[in-house]
Amino acid sequence: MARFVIGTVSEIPPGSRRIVTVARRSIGVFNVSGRFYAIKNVCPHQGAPLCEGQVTGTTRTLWTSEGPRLEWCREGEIIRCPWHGWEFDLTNGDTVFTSRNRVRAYAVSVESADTVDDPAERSTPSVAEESRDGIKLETFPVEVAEGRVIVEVDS
Amino acid sequence: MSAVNHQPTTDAQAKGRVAVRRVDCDVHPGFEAPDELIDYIMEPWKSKTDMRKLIRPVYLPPHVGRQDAAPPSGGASGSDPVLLDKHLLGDAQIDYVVLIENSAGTPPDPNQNVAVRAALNRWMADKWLDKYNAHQRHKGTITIPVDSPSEAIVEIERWAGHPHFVGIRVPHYSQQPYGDEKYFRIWEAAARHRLPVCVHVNGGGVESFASPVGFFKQFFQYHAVGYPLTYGAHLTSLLVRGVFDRLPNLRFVLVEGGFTWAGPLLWRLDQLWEMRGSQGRRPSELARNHVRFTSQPIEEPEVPRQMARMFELMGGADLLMLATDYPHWDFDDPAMALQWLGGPSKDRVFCQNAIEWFNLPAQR
Amino acid sequence: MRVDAGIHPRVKSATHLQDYMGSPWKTRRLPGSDSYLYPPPRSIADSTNPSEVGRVLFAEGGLDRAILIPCTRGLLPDPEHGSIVASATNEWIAQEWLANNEYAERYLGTIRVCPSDPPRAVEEIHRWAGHAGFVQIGVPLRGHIPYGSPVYYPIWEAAMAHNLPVVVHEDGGQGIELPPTMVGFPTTYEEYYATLPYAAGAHLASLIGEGTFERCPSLRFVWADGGFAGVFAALWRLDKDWRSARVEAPWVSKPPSAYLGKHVWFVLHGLDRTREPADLAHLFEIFGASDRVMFGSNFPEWDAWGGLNSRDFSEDVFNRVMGLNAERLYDLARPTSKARRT
Repeated sequence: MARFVIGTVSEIPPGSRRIVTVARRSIGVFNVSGRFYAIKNVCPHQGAPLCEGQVTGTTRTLWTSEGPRLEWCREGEIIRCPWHGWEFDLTNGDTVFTSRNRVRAYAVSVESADTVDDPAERSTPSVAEESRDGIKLETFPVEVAEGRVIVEVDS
Repeated sequence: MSAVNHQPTTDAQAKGRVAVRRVDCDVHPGFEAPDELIDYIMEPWKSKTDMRKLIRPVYLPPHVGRQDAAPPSGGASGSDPVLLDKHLLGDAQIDYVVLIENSAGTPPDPNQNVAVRAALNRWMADKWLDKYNAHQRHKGTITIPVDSPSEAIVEIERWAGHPHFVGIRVPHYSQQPYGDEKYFRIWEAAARHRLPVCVHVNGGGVESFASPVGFFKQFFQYHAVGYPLTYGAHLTSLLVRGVFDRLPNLRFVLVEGGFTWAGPLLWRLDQLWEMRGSQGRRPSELARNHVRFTSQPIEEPEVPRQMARMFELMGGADLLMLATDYPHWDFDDPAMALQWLGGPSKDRVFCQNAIEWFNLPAQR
Repeated sequence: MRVDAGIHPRVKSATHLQDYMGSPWKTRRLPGSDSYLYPPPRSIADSTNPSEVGRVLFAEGGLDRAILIPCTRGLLPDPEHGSIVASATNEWIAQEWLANNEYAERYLGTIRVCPSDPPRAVEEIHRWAGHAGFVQIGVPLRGHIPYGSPVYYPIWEAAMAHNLPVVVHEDGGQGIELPPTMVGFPTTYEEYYATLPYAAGAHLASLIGEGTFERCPSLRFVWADGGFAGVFAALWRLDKDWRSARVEAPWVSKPPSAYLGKHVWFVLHGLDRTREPADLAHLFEIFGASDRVMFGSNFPEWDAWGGLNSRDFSEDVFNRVMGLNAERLYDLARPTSKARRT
């Protein structure tokens, strides 16, 4: 497993995302109300750029005597594939509809440089490249106390 | 196969021809601006036509267009020929695309419909088959006002000689099933010019929406079941009314209506034909000789292997032609959507059936 | 047990059914029993006489049971009139077919109701559900509102309360039905007859898509016009579209095709045969249908048939289709405390 810095917490505010290339994979990192999640930018259906889809909520059923009704829920936690509209749960990569399909989800952590005390760990994790324009992120100075968003990927 | 080559035709010819490997039988060019078509409409309808009123979006899909197919300039999905070529001729490695208009619904006034259809043909010929067709890989379909047969024939006669119109387009909704006598003259003209008739779903407008059991509440029910019912009625009508016996050169394509439902229907028609005395030709044989289906949206049962089995049982290799339905939401990526399709069948479906059906060059 | 899951008894005359009505309805005119918008070819036999029909089906044909599906000729404009006709039909079946003839014990009946009149439909179900001879509720294939709509909940709840399946069958088309295709009225009988059974898919899209099978977990439907393969194939499209559109119908909690096992049965008609019998066996396998299709002769219609040939199918499939599936669905083997009372 390799760890990659995606950016700082303030660079990916709540409700936003970053799509980056790490270890030859395109991955989307999402800030959902202050928590970070990362999924592969390839829809398991037909390979669409999943992470470019709409981040939204979804519906659940409210049963009444006149029949079922819609209730909105999980705002900001769901992404819809831009091609066929498949709903994926950003928090775990599962499809919202019952299926065996899922998109690969990656562990994301937030660390500040201060918390690193193992000298081996103190070396900066690999820095992710933006997949859009190929600009390499700058190495973050160790003395920045702000949290860094880190994704773990099989390398 | 090499990546898309935007160089002029003479350079490509100088480099030698490539074998055609993929023909996409269902692509929808869009409008860069809502009024792009108005310039092509003749008076008195030019000043009376409001493009926004030609679409009646009653049943709405999750989103109409593939969200990455909308050009940055702001036009509708599929309106930028360069972006379309990048996605299809480039990324999807398509050799020829068959363009089918789907951006203007059927207005209730038949005279307006005649004018709009005529304008769509002028627009397609001008922009897609000429201005942006230096590579000659865009092919078009002549859209006609099917419920105004005389005017429909005028439209066919007007464009039949054009080098890049390879078929005719009719909407899925019509006032009668297509085997009805009222349409025969149109099919006669189509057969005479060797232009396959492509049935494609409406862009909106006049349509009854009534199934035999009432109205669907939601898009996905209408789309999943309503289209097979509609296309099934047309297919049955054409076969039962003997249209292909009277017009041996007539060809049809059922576009975007699905595929596996047709197998059981054809078997049912065969059984009916046998039990009624086996007069004329067997319906499934007539279908094999006169009807093709496009692959998109390909059925995706919970157990994918079932799709392969149905395909075999139906003799799908004879009947199916590749289509993506670019740039619509339920676009099928050719590399991914038909993975269960093997070997020789794949070649038939991906190019050979279409080359034969639309009389396309096998090399370009 | 050899079971015929669908035969069509006919009334003796245009006014036969009116004998079972009270006033003022008995003087109201009805489409005749032989009235069709698309007249079929001539029937192979008369089906007005229970003794005669019984001799053909049971004595000569070797059947053990035959399920009666009476047709009422079409949707009447007045739902109350429709309920009166349904009620009279049930009286006629109860008195002349399920009793008072030597084959009465072998006939099984359908409780006809008028779906556009739910309160009377529920009454009718309660009236007959205790009668041992009736094994299901019956509604027409065509209507103005698909069967998943909440307007029908009271009817389906009554059916479930009595553990009765619901059979759906085209009724003749001489009423205020919508056109038999989505592109108008076809010209020929063949066009009408070949395509109409697939309208069952529209009802199923509604029953699944509106969550009615979720709300009514023990509701069972029998589609008695045949066409199982085409309907199941159309439902594959529903699986695919549901994956994109689940957000519009979160009550569809599993793939649409997953509802078929608990809720859907089909009558197998002569027109469902394939040129090669092996192909039909393959279709049973592909669609998981061998435990839910039931032979129905369609007697006395022109396309009546005698069922599968045992040579062409495995013993297991043959037995299921020719009787076991119906036995299980209708619980025929179990002795019942109900009586055949009229």
